[in-house]
Amino acid sequence: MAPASASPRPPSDQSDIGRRRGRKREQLGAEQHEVYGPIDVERHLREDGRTLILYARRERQDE
Amino acid sequence: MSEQRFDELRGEEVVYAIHRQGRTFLPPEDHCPLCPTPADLRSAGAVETEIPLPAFEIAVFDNLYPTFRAPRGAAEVVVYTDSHHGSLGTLAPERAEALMWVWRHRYQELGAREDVRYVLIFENRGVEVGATLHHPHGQIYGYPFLPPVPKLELAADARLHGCAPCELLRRELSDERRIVHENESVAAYIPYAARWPYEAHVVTRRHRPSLLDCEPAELRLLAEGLQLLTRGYDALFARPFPYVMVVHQAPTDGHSGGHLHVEFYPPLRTAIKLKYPAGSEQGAGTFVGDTLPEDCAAALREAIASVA
Repeated sequence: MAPASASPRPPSDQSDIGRRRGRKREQLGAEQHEVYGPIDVERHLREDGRTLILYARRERQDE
Repeated sequence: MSEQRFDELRGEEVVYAIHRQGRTFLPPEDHCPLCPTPADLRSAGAVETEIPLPAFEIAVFDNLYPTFRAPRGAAEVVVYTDSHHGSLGTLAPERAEALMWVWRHRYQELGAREDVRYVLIFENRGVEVGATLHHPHGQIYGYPFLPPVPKLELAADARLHGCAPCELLRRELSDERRIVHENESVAAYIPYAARWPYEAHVVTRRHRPSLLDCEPAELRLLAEGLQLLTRGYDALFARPFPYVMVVHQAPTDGHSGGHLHVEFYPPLRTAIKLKYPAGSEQGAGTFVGDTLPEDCAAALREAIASVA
């Protein structure tokens, strides 16, 4: 890993939202959706009984 | 299942989670369990990672090797990004802000459980502090009891006749010498009696018992402060800076008290030398420092300014 001094301020990943929002979800049956502040929450129950929660930023009004 | 025993001599709980002995240890990148599962691998029937999707933003899941689990607490893993490389400091600012909301969500949900009396959000970064996976991630423990450190913080509130972090922040802001960064919502400083050379506390200016009490702008500025501090750490010795990061919040067992702040315990005292908790630290409980907090704060302040 390069030291942070070599790359000071991280770039925005705003442009990445659309790509991720369009990802395929057929692999995991969505169990439950909710909105929590500015993020979407998607909860899945895995086959082994453990919970997997996926969080994604909601698109902002000004985007 | 973990076993909990009470150490009468020290008056504290010890937890044995012997199933963790076999957990994944420093795997190569192509065997990282926290990376996404590429679609071609999945279709080929290859072993999935913990996140069976080709991409994700932030993921939280029950730890495969839990220290605690229901009905006696919880242990979760928080994966900051689907990229194997990077760190909290190098996340895009929007992602870091979203992470604050994820922490908030987990604190609220776990804290509402009857079997969770204290929610600890933390990150162990670097092999120097025992991290076993390189992928940027943190963890959350839901303790079924109130651990010693939050108990000490409640005792400090009583000793100082009010909120101890509020009073200590007031003192640090007045002194100024150990402040390393400030914004409208948080101040970061190396405390007057720091145990680790570059120990830093990031404290909310207003009295906020937990993330639940923060305004959205405060969460954004908390993320900003944490990112600047961690990038400053990396710049300090021009190397990835190992640390233990712990989010301190109010207990969830009905106790009053608590003030949201994030403490960092980095073991480095120079670029290549570690501070070990040794005889005095472990045997007597008294930390002995090789550096003064004021000197370390000056160096860290300069490093943070270089990456701001």
